[in-house]
Amino acid sequence: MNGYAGPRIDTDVHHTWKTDAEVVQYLPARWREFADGMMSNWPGRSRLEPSLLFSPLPNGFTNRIDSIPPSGGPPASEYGFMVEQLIEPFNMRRIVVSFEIGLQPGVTNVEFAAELTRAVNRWQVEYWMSLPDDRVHGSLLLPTQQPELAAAEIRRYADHPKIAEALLVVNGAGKPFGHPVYHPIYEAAAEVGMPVGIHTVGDTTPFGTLTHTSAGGLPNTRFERRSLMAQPVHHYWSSYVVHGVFEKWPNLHLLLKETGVTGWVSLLWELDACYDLLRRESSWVRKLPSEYFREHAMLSTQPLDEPENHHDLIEVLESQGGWENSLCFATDYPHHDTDNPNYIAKRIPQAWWDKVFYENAVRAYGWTDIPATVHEFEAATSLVH
Amino acid sequence: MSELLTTSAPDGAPAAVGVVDAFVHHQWNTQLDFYEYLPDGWREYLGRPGTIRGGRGMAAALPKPDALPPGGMWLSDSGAPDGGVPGSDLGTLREQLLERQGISRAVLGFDGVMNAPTYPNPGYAHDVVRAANDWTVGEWLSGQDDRLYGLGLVPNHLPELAAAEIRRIGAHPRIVGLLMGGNGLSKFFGHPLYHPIYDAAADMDLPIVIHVGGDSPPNTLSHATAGGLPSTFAEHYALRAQSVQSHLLSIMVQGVLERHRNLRVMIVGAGVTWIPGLLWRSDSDFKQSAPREAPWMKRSPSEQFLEQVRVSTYSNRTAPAAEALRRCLSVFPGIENVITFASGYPRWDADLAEHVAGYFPVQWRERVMGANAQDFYRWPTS
Repeated sequence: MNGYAGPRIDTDVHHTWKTDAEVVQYLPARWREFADGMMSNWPGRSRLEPSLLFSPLPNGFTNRIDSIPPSGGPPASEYGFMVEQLIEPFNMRRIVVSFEIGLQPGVTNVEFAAELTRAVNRWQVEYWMSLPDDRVHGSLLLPTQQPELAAAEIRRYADHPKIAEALLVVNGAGKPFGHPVYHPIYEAAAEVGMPVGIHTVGDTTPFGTLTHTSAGGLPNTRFERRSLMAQPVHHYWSSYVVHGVFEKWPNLHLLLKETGVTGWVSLLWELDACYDLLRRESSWVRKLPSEYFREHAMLSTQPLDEPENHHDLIEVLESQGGWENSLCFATDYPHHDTDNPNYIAKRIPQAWWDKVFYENAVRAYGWTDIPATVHEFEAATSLVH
Repeated sequence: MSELLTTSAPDGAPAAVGVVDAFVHHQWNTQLDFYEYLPDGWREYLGRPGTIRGGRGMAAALPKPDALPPGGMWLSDSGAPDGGVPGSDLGTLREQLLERQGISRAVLGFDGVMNAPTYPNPGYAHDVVRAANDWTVGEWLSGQDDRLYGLGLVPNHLPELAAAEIRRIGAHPRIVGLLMGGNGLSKFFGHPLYHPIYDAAADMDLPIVIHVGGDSPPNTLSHATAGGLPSTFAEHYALRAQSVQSHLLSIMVQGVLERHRNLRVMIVGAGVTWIPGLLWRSDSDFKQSAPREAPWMKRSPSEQFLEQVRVSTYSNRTAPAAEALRRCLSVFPGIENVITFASGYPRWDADLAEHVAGYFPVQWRERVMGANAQDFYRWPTS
């Protein structure tokens, strides 16, 4: 076989609106006026995002140049072009779209942040989740500065067939996401059976959170920021273990996006080695942290580490073992460092393909409307033809 | 212990060096022990016990760390016979570390005082660092035991004065390296503000040692962990490699190792499993970002790392099964020249030399247990 020919699921796609007006229309009148007034003499800057740590990419453009749709609008703002560029050529059986990049919960005004987040979710449901295409599923953005409102948002959309996950981006309460202040979110997610996604960069909005995106100080370059971008999510993970999130809600599942893979090998070893310490300091730790990980977490593959010799990556993962069951393929489309699935297939063992490109994601999202395995998928497809 | 090394030589010849312990935590028993090295004003400021009724009258010279191991900070049997604190008594250290573990050279690197650069009063912090350096030389490195060497603590909160202190204390023949402990400016250690320190270190041919925990003291604005602060010591500990990865990466990205090709850096206290994750991620970002953001970088992070960076085994207690770690690290050719034994004695997570020697592959043993530290530090030439 030359490459993987089966169905794929893409667990990290960043779609967006063509103009801010698409979202602003769903704000209550007074917040519409607020949003318009605030930026009225600053044309060209979005009203709908908080300030970020300043470390721009060259030319200020974070996406693939070729992802700009023919109309000239923002990348990943047009369904038709996304079908043409991503879904069809790579045989995506399903993609989960999760905003560019979902920082709205971090705007400083706590009321506006919640209203804006709800408006983004309305936009998502009206524009993208109403498409007659069952391949496109979405994330529900959570207003993390107010976990009770986030829980209400989860319950509001609990029965929507195309909402695949509740999404945590901005660290709105300034605590690692396992902290008890966030527990209303997991209570609601477990109650309605919705997995929780976490995307990196949640600690880069300095006015919404006092947390840092890196330990030891703040990065001076995009290079440093990016190389260290998994650090907050590593800490979130330890906090889930310490604060008993999986003991309180045993059916909860997490998808951790854009955190790389190799760094987790070290973290899981370190945490397992701290088992006795963890047990002394927390009443909730009943299993090895790596067991909680295998049972409750998936990592998206992008950005897959790229040692010169691709066997080296597998060697490191296999030194710990079990990783073929914890990885879900993702492109990160339309970002500049989008992973091409054909390239990723060459860098992981053939024996992992079915799981990583398809089966692990079906399991993590709990989908029952599509076949659970590639084998069943192919059997069903051949019946149709 | 020394037979571990002789048997490891590939041709059966005796090994050239014995076991070298690259990092030991020494400290004073009471702060009164270093008073004579402090300027009069600070001695008077701190005061003495008993000058106020009920034994009161002395301020603590060092702030209390926040997150403490639930079982105690030091090995339970490492206290001095007279009740002194662990790491404060030469006789106990000699017996438990040098004699029992067959260590031929040990490098003293301070305990809690290593965070002095983070103290809010910069003048006080500077004078405490100088006094701690003089105390080390006076009480430990003046003929007490010829196996002992020391690090000079860097008052990095005042980089120009730090450079002066490096030239002063670094002139002592038994000071074989420099310690970056507390993060005095709350910036990554590669930030240009810190560069006078590396210029002075390179001039003096003294390597830099970075110990974990420098972002944990109460007065630093940098954080010990990303994504918020943890609730438990266990998380502080399991995540302790985060801040030293930031510091090391920034030293490579901000050009310190390109400017000083003779400068050596060692990371202490974080174990070694973090190496592949940091190097692969940053090598990818190097290709993309270095030409514009860091044009002075001629070599990738992994090239700089393998040539100029060393990583201590301490604490090897959190390492996975030996074969798993060997597989994990062997993807980097030459990694056996990087991994350097340090006991961390007498901290609670210290390692025994014979356990570490037995843990790493026999072909690596001579490098890990002695030769790497021997090549890293600037030993006296006479």
